[in-house]
Amino acid sequence: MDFSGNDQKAQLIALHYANQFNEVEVIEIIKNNRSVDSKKTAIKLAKFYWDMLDASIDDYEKKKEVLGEIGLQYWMERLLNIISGYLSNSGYEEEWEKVSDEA
Amino acid sequence: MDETQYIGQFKTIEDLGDIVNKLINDHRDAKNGTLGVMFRVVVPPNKPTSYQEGHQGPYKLTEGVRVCDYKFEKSTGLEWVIPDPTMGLSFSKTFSHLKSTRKMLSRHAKGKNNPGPAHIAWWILEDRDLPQGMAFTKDPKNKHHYFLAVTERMHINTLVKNLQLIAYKMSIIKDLTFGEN
Repeated sequence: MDFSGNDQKAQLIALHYANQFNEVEVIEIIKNNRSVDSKKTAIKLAKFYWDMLDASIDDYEKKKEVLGEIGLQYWMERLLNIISGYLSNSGYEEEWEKVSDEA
Repeated sequence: MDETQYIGQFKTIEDLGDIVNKLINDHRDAKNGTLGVMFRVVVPPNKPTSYQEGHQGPYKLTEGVRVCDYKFEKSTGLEWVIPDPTMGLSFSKTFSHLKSTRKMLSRHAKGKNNPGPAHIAWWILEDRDLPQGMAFTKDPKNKHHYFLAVTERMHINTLVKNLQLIAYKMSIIKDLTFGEN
């Protein structure tokens, strides 16, 4: 997954929540130690995004600071584009859309 | 300057899909990939290209522009904006991307258990040019997502004027999926 340019903090935020959820497989994908190579893993990554979004909204409502920021809307927008873009490029756009419709 | 006009409404996501896909078909030549229409999610009471104080999330606003959306020249504070093709207001090229973005922002606006309406605005590229110094640039991380970027160093007042000009020429349909609002 591409966290280059202005998006390095997006990677740290995704890792923060993946660690919080203890999503070992997702952690490895975010760290770029492995890639998404099955529908099952694509669905897991897509679900992770929406769970992360809800957790970040909870944190914002509780005024909880995450990596120095209270409120992560900008980064959640970036992560939506990074994660869905990655899934689309890997051939899993359908899985992203299905999970997103149900989220 | 006049307010942007609402030209319609949608009560279901399927309604929205029909409208968006018709616009895409009418204005985009899919074979050569030319951009035809760019869509933007607008959480009220914000306007198509500007935010209102108190409705911008946790970010600082200057003249209705979120400082996280553009790159400012640090030595001048928030006076000058410098070009960065990977920064700018977000636009969607496809219904699928628009739908995800709308869901995310709708949930973010008022909390996950109390999502609110998110209107949809669009700009038809073939109808008119963007103001000088502005361009749609493709997000290198997502082919369905574009930034409304600045392409030259620009004073904040010029950026604000440009964004207002763009908003004035955008069409917007109102989200009634949560009922009348």
